[in-house]
Order: sequence, then structure tokens, then C-alpha cells
Amino acid sequence: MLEEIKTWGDVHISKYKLDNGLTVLLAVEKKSPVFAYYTYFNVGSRHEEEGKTGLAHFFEHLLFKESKNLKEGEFDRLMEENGAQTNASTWVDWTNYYQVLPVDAEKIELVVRLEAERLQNMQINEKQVTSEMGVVQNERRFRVDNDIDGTMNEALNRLAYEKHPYGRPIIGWMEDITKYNVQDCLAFYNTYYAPNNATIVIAGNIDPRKTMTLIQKYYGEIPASQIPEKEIPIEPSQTKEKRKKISRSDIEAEKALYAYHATAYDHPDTPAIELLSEILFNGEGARLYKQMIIEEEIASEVNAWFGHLKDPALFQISVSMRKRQPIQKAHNRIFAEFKKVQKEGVTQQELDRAKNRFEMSYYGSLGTVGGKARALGQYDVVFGDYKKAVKLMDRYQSVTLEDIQRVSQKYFVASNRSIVEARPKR
Amino acid sequence: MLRKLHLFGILMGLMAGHFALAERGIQVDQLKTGQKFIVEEDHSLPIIRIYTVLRSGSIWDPKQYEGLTAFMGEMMLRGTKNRSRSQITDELDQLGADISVDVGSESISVTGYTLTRNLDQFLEIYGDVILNPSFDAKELEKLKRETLSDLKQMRENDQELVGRFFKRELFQKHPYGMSTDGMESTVSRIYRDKVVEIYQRFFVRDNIFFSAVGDLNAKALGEKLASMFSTLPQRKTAAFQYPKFDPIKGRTLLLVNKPERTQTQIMIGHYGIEVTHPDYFPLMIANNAFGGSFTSRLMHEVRVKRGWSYGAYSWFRPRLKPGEFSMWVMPASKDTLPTLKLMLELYEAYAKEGITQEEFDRSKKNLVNEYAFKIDTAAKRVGQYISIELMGLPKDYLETYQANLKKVTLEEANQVIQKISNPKDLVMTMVCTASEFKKQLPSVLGKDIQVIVKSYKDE
Repeated sequence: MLEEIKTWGDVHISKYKLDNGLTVLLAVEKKSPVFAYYTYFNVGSRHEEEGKTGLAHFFEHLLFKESKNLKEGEFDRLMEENGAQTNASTWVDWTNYYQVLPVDAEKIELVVRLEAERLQNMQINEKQVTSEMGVVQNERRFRVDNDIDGTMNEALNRLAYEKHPYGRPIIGWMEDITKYNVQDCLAFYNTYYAPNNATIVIAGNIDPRKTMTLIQKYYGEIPASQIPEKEIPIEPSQTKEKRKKISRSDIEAEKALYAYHATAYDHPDTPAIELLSEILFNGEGARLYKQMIIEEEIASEVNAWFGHLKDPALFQISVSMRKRQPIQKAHNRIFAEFKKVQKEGVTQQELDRAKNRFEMSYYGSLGTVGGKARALGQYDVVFGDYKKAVKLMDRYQSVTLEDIQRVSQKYFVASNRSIVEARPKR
Repeated sequence: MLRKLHLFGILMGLMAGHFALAERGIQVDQLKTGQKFIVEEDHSLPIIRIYTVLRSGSIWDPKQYEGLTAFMGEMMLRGTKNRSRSQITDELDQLGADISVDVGSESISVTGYTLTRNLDQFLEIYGDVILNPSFDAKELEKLKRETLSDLKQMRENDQELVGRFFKRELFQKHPYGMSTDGMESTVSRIYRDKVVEIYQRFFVRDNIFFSAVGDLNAKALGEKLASMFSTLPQRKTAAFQYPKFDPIKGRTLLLVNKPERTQTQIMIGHYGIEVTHPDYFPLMIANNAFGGSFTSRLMHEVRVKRGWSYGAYSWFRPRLKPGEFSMWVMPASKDTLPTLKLMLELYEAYAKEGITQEEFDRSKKNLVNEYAFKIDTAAKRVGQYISIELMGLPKDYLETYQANLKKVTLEEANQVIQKISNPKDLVMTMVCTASEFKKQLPSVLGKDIQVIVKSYKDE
């Protein structure tokens, strides 16, 4: 064991590292009748090549197929018979697989055994790849092609990033999804699915000693791999505003997505940027929500978000106008409000509101063992330290009024902005 | 990006969420004002949730004012006799707290969420919102414009559209076919007196119970709630008079035409059974095997074997009267007709032959074992109790949940399938670019089918 801390009421977190480089975090929560088993791999869409976009996500689907000791569908069957909740997700920086099951010794061993099996013994064949390509193409139709918000989001990332892979869609371009082959998938598996590229988080009423014995038994002999150092291009500074226009017959009113290049999660400015989004956009008490939706009634939706990413992320704003309201009105109000903050700052009351909202949402996300495992795993695998999840609130509580004004001046300028506008086709 | 459709997972969770065993620190008290108080203390995080639950919902909406109850709920947050809308928002925001009014078809919940350290200040606002809404005429007109705008925007979401059109086509005049948020034509008609009338009808002492969970003192909070809400009128709310269901005759296909689709949303189904029906447990096992899980027959044939759809599920919606049985897939436009044909064949085979021993065993084990998720947090345990109270389930329902599943046999499950499944009388709804399919449909569905075409902008 490397270390142990107590947090979140009565949760005891201990960290371990196996000789093959596998990181294990155990979060013991005695009261929980279920345990969560989260496996995070330090691989996401950022590791893909042009022409093979979406491969990390596609491979996530394949990990539920056949392996040396598991027939096709057996993983899902065993999980369901044991009452498990399972799913997986792929993001730009990471890929995650999870199972949550009722606590008992047999079920814990079952999950450890099956996840260790999937880490080392997958058998990919042509039939699986072909069938799953159809599924993922349909997922793309659902999330992107037939969904205006998905379409705009994809267009915005493409527009804002010139070199960084964050500009590519996680699900992949449709033409790339039709071209995967068995060799691509095996190469991806052999490169990135290794114990020294993974963090396992187990949260719930578990016995740490017995659990680590199982982890050692099933994972201990899996050899470490040489994980290639992926050279990620540095995104050049944006020097002028970029715009893209979309026209569609299936939308009701004008819309816009805005992006400002901002910071990576570890950057000291990140909490101030996120709190600024609360002050201006999120919730009925936010300045632009109040103005555009409540007082002027020109928009039906306005919100902003900012991801916690390894490399500089985009601060994104989304606006849907009311029918026959031109999107230019949204531009005018948003840009004017940024200028106002740059000049006058925000009030202490606004900052307190933003911090309280953030605190509420932070605790809200930790209500289940899965929520806790998710936070610990993401911060450990992407940012190298699970304690960043535990101490998250400290960073946000220390933000000052000066911080808010400073970040508004530094990041929210026209030359750093990209906009995608969508209009109903007449 | 997720392997399985997350939103659907949430929906399934909610729908299956009425059954669980009471355990641990949950208490069901009676306040001195007579209302039930379901509460559990959980001091692990510094937050508290409080629920005021009503045994009424949007099916009470008069047809011509569809959307009225949801409208009333939203208006409660838009001003009281003591606070304007912006004062409510600002005060809650300052506390890091939130109040929402969630209107379902057969229930309403006023849910509050606060940091422990701000509980007293929060309760002051919470009580004011529930007891003293002003239903300000200006705010009412504003909300009307906002709702009409939201209803227009809803049309951008194909999944939402297919559910809405399917339900309306299936239930026809029955109130289960109405949408909680109403239609443009009905929301336009709502006026203040109607909103006040429905508020006064629902917010009476006998129609309400309370619940809370989190970092709280149960006794102290119960006393506060009783005192705060002692002024609620003591009138009774008459039970809802459910109309009869019109029988479904034959197969009807509703094509909801929307331009430029490369994917079709398909929903097929008929009436199910009420949640208190003795066949509900065998039916849960049967449906879970057919389309309720990732290893189910529908998912296996449509997604795993053929790769035709990202999601492929079926479910029975638990309601006080027979809710809808629905099957749902979303193939590419080019795969729509083969997928539709396959779904119908699968359903016909299921209705005729039932499920196999292997499917039955897996489904039953899954449902028995996943029980732990109904009660793994204090918030979920409280949620279970609220659902049970609302659904009018027997008192021992929780304690016997797993036993009731375990005692079901394959024969019983298959008998229930034969009794309830009806592949001859089906309502089918497709949101798609209709011109691509209309001519070819008879080759898949036969000539006897009734085809109705509507625009996605129709109500």
C-alpha cells in the first residue's frame, strides 16, 4: 500500500501499485450494500490517428465480445445473472469500464477474474468488427447526424481546434467508422490495454486485504507493456474569430454554439473560469439566463460548460433562440456581458452563489459508490492523483473576485472565439 | 460516448424502481398533522433532500387544458405572496439550494435540495413556495410563451417525438395518452383561474405526504414540516375517475414524417397491465428476457447479430391502470423495413412460444440479484418508499419482492406472455422521412394495415 486517507464522511481510500504497473484504489464504504468496480485506461480519442478516428470508442464496444476464456456474450450474461449494472464510456483522455454489483466475496472475485481476462485475452474477429461497425454507425446517426446539438458540437470542435486531436469526434467520422479492420483493433488493444496503462477503483463494503489478494492473483502475472509516448500537437494560439454556418430543415429556431480556448484542468485558472460560467450562464440566477430567457424572452435555452481535460479545453456556450429571434441578439448580449465583467468584475454575492452551486453539484455527484469510483478513477488516470478529486472544493473555494475578472480578460476575447450558427432552412 | 444508451438506462431504472425491500435506517412516521413522513438520516455528505409528494398528476388535466398541472407546478416557482420569482431564485442560489416541481402523470413532487448548513433558511423558502404561490398574471403569460417555445423546440428530438406520438396514438382519448407538458393548442388556452383552481384542488392535507433524506435530524425535521404545513386545507381530493380503454383493433402504423432523416425511430406496442396486477412479477421476468436487458432476445437479434440498431428494448410502464407495453429500436433508414419485419416476427414468436428455460433462468436471476440497487443509498431507499406509497402497493410488498420473483415458474411466465401479448392488435409509430418507405410498407406489413401519415409538427 502506498498511502491511505479518510474522506467523504467515513470513506477510507488506499492506493496500491502492482509490480506490473497496475494502479489500484480501494475506497471502503462500510454502509454500501453494493460495490463499484471501475477500470480506467489512459487512452482516449486523443491517441487516435487521422483516418482512424473513433477507434478508441469502437474498441470499447469490442471489449464485450469474445475472449480466450469467455464465449461471445458470456461476459454480459454473467454480469446480468449476478444483477450487475455495467457500461463503458470513452472520452478524449480516457476509456472506462464499470460494473456495480451486490457485495459478496464470490461476486468480487468474478469481476476481478473477468476484467483481468478482458485485459489480456480478447479475440477479435472479422464478424464481430463488421456487426459492431453497424451498431456504432447507428449510434453516430443517433447522437450526431440526426441530432442538431450533436451536429453543432462536432462542427464546433472541428472549427476551434486546428491541430489538437480534441478537434476530432470521439465517435469518429462516419467514413472512418466504415473502414476499421481486425488489424486496427488488435494493434490498438495490444498498444494501450496493459496494466501499466490502467487504474482500477473498487468502492464499497470490501475487505482491502482480501481484495488485493484477488487483484494480485488475477492481474499480477499480466506483463506490462511499453506504452508509446504519443506526441500530441500543441494547439496554436487562435488569432482571429472563426465562424461556421449550418442550415437545416429540422430545426425550429436559430441556435449558436460558442467556444473559447481555455485551460487544462491542472491550470490554476480553471476554477475561476468554471465559476464564471456559473455566474453568467448557468441557472435562473445567472446574468445571461436572467436577461435572455426571463427578462427579454429572446432565447429558450442558454448554458455553458467547461470540461476537465488533460490539455487545454474549450469553454463552450450554447444558445437556442425563440422562434423568429435572430441569433445576432445572442451574440450582442454575450459579448457585451463579457466586456462588462472585464471592465467591472462581478460581485461577491455572485461569486458566493457560484461557489455554493458548485459545492452542491460536487456533493450530488458523490451520492453513490459509482460516483465516488468515477471521480477517483478519472482524476488518478488523467491527472495522476486521485486526491485531486477529494480536494476539488478547496481549489474552487479559494477563487477571488480578482481571479474572475482576470480570467475574463485573458480568455474571453473575440480573437479566441469560434462560433457555429444553425438556422432553419426556409 | 457510451456502449449502452445511458438515457434509456435511467428510464429503465426509474420504471423498475417501485420494488425494493425496506431496510436500514428508514422510518415511516406520522406527523401530528396526520400526514405520512418517510425519512432516513444519512450523515455521510452535508446535503439534504426534502420531498412534498401529491397523489395527483397530469392525467387530471381537462382535455382542453392539457399541460395545466405541469403549468401550475412551474408557476409555483414563479412568485409567492412574499417573494418575486427573482427573489426565490436569488435566495436559493445564495444558499446553493434548489427547488423543483416534478409533475408526473399520476403524482407531483416538490423536491428541495440544500446544503445542511443552510437548512433553516431553505425551509423558509420551501414552505413559502408550497403554501403561498401568487400565480402572478404577468408571470403566467410569460410562462405560456416559454412553454410554447419549448414545445416547438421539442420537435427537434426524434426520440421524444416517437414516444409522444406513440402514446397518443395508443391511448387515443384516454388520459394516459396526454403529454404532461401539453400541446401548443391547449397551453395557449390556460388562464389564471384554472391554475388556481387546480392548485387549490391538489394542495390539501389528505392528498400530501412528506419525505426527506440526508444529513438531518428526523424528529426535528418532522416537527418543523408539521408546523410549517399545518395551514394546508383539510379538504379531501376526490379520487380520479379513470375512463375505460378503447380496444385496439388490428394493426395501425403512424408515420410521423420529418425531413432529412438518416435514421428511423420505431416504437411498437399495446396496453399492458397495472402495476398491482398479480401477473406483474411473471411479466417482469418475461419482458426482461424478451427486451429488458442487454442479453435479451430483442437486443441480441437486432443489435448483436445484425448491427441494425444501437438500442433495442421493450418495457411495461408501471402505472395505476394498465400502462403501455412498448418495443423501441432506431435503425438506419436503409435498414428500417427489415428491422420492422424482424421486430414483428420476434414478437409473434415470443407471443406464441414464450421464452426458453435458459432465458427465464437468466432473467429471473438478474432481477433477483439487481435488487441491491434499489436500496444501495439512503436516497434510493426513500425513493422506493415514495413510489410504493404512490402506487398503492401492499404493505408487505417490499419484504416479499425477491420471494415473489423467485417463486415464478417458467410455465407461469409463458402463460402470462400468452395472456398479455397481442401481436395482432398493435400500434406502430415511426419517426422518419416517410416518402422513403410508404410504398414498400405493404410488402412488409400486408395490405390490411391502417397507415396514417402525420407531420412531426402536428399535435
